[in-house]
Amino acid sequence: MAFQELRVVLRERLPSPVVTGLKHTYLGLERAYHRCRRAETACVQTTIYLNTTTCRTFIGLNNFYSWLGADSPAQAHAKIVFFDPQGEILLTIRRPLEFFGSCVIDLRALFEEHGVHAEFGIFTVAVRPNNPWNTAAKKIGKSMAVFYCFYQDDNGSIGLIHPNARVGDVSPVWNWSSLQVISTEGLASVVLYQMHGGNYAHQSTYRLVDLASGEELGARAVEYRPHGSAKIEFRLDALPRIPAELLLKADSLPSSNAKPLLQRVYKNGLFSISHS
Amino acid sequence: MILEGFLLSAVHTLPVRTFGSLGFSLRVGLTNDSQIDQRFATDYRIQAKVYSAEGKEIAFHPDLGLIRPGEKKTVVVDELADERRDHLVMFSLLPLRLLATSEDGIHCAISREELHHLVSCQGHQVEYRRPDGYSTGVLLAFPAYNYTKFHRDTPAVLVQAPKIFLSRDIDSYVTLINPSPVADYNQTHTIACSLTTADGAVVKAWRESVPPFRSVAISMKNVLGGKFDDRVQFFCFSGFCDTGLLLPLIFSYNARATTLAVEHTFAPFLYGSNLSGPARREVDKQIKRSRLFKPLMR
Repeated sequence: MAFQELRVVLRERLPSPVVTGLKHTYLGLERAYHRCRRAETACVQTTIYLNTTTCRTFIGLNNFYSWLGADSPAQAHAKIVFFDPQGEILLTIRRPLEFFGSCVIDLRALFEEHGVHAEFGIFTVAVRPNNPWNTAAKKIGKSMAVFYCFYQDDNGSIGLIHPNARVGDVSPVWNWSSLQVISTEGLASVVLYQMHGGNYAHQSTYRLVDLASGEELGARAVEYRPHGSAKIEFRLDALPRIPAELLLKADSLPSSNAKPLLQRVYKNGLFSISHS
Repeated sequence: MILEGFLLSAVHTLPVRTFGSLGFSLRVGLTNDSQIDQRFATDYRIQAKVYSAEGKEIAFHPDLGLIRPGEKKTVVVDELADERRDHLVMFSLLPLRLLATSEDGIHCAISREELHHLVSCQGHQVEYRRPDGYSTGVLLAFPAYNYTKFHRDTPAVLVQAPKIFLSRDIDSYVTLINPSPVADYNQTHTIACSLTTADGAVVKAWRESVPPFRSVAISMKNVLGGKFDDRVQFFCFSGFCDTGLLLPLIFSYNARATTLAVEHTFAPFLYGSNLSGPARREVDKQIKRSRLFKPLMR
């Protein structure tokens, strides 16, 4: 649009021989501009949303270009794509981000407004400057939008997490072991929400083991479609025995750094959520 | 490049705060993944120093056990400190392979490559627990803070936290820790703080001083004042300090259900591929004179 306006202005204001002389310069600039707009300058990150009858998700993000280049007032925008567990796109939205601005998305309200529904799935976030030639954006290099999910359940359970998986050029991770030791005191079940940021199908097998002995107490095999996700539940009363501490392992994770979200569900109904 | 005279206790540190004031005890799950690069595989001896709410060292635990490569070990912090009060606990994982080469048992010579590997190859579980077993936590990994052998320049901390969610039941605590592996470290750092709305308007700006070996917890509801209803209100917290490093963690707390959630923030270099060295220093210069912080800088 800017180039069309420039062309009109030049034609109106300059003598025609000058306009003719500038033609090639103008075309070169326009090509460079469009190439720049198409260039991928932002890594796209993903995590899981929850949207049950009792649990809602709020997504918080900011125009980080302002914090990282405060002298160059940059307006930006966030493109957010929501997928269902089968990896089908449910909704794509775009939110403006003012200079030093931020944004919160109430996922339940958003889904209701657009008439879409899924109880969980992945969503991707990319934040890009409106003007890709903005000085701050150029200095940052390839950016990564950090955003946060706040989960809130009617029973008072809450969770706060950052994205951990990338979308795009990713590959499976083999022989994964969680960093978390899971104490079984008061625990009813261990639930995993696995995100898949890759554009390929994958199968993972998850194992719940006794931390002390390494004995396998439960296993689940799950197949993923591209950009799919899964809820994997291990009920403790279904295990052959309940040790004091558990550890999660998997033969693979579907994509780079896609550690599943770990939801500890307690006997009183409360849960907590964290990276695994 | 070899770093001579590097404190063994600074190779792998984990500063954590307890939250007894909210009714939670603390447990940490420490991991040893040094074997990911076999050249640097080492056993770790766990040590911990406990600091009072006033920043005084009140206990030193020189040997809380050994973690072998590929293993995990859980430490219940209740047993190290009075959990009814809020403390700072500084864990150190002492690499025994380097201890064996040390002349005084305190310092070692370590390459930047090995140091980077030992700091970055693993994360630790920090878990806040209620008496009924309910627990919540976060995975953390940090290099030594406020240690000139590690940070060649005076480092700065820039916090971007679009994750302040407030309602009648829910508060957010911005916690800031001022740790160091150096025993006689004595610097207080003051951080400029601001809360902004979605359109970028500053609704509150203030300065917060954090003395050495102290952890402050700032209630965002107390900062803002007023009353909140059931609707979740959202703010972005920002912080900037260029005299030293403070470790920020954001806690959400539901006072009705006594539930807690915690997450760390990200340093600027994790937002952009070019943001290190001179580019990072330029970021700091610009943010310091920005409308978020300029009125607060001295």
